[in-house]
Amino acid sequence: MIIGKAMINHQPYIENLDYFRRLLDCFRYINKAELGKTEEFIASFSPNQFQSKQWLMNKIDELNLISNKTKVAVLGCKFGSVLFPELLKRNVDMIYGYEMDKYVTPVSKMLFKKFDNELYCKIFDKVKFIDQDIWVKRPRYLDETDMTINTSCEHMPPMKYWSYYKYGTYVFQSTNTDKTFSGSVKVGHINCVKNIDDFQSQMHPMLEILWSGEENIVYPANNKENIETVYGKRFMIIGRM
Amino acid sequence: MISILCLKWGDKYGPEYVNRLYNQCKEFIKLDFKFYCATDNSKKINPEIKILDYNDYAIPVGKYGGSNLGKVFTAEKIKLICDKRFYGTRVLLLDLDLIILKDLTNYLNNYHPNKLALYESWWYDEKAFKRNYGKISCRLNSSFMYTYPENVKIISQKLFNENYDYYAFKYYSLDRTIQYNFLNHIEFHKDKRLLYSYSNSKSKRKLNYKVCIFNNSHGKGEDLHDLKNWAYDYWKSYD
Repeated sequence: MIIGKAMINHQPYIENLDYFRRLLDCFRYINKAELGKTEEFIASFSPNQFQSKQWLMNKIDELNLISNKTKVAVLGCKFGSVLFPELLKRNVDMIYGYEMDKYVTPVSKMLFKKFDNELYCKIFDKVKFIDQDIWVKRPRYLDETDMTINTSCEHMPPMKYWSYYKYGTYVFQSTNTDKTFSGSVKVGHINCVKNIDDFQSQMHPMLEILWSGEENIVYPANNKENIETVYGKRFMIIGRM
Repeated sequence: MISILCLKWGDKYGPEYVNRLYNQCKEFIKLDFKFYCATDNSKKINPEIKILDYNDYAIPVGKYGGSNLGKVFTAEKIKLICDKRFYGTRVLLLDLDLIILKDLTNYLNNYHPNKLALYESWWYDEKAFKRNYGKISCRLNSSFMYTYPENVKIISQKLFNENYDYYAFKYYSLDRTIQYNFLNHIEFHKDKRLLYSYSNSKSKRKLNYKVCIFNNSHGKGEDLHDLKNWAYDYWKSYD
């Protein structure tokens, strides 16, 4: 895939073509089913999405937290557009994606569904989407997983209040941006944090923090000087229970 | 028999809202009913109206905090509508900021809800609803709720005893909380000419519906007492 930094790394052409075809199928489906998700789907491939997910995967790699036996729960996963291919590239055993937006999950399922007759798509057996609000009741299959990723902390209450912790590795991301790049209100950002300390204060007291840090969210140049624009920050905490 | 209920707390709406609503009910609901107002201030409310103590229906502050003081805004309505004192009657809970335009007698008399009946907000753009699903969007309205109080027990139990802190943080309004969590426990009024929203109508005219809601409790739209048109004159005529 040649969109953004995260996917540049030498994917075989045939896999790129397959993912591209899936994207087209998704657009067709969103349109036909009138799901109203075209813009959100496009935004899920925005440069800052690639940047933050690549940052996450780099840290997971550095800390050597992932193997072909890892079963991953991704909370508030939306379409899984960028993160899931990265996890699949690392040959994880299984990905469970949890999303409460019932107009998103059919698209996600289409993006990662298995085509039996295609040699290169066996990996998509490894993805399961669950249409569920992970705060209202215990997420299904959670007990089968050993890593939990939540890059949507700004959309939900502080994670210290979440009731369903279990043994395993946890990766959390949040942001300080409650407005879009153009200045309008970011709908649904109900829990932005000010800085990494603020984010740490939202963590469960039993979480042993392995790594934490912040990264500027950079938007690509939109001017003659070709200068990238810093728009906000993302914060990440990796820990263990 | 029908128990007609309303809530008034704080100083956003004066007693004239309660009294005029009562007078409209007398004109447009020719059924045996009692009219109750749960309030923290009964001063100047018509003595024919039965006063209930607002504190009996006060709602908790969620432990997670959030917008709207960490509360599910107007969740008092759920506590009120399922009060055991109304068992054996049908209950109609009305927001104060609405006007009744046409007779409701037959509609209320012939309708026996199996669940809590709310109104589907047809004026809310469906595409916008899907686009913002789970965030701000909501396509139901609790300004005109009708039911048997026993039907609401399950919602009350789930709302206040299971995930209230989360609902207060994430949804912070009753309508949104119901939209995303309790759809299985409600039904929609079937009369498509029952309700329209003044704030969402382009012409702001009196339309061919039974009830006009102003729905300004969320800080959008206009309040009846600020208007200078037919709606204010109509409302004022029920003194």
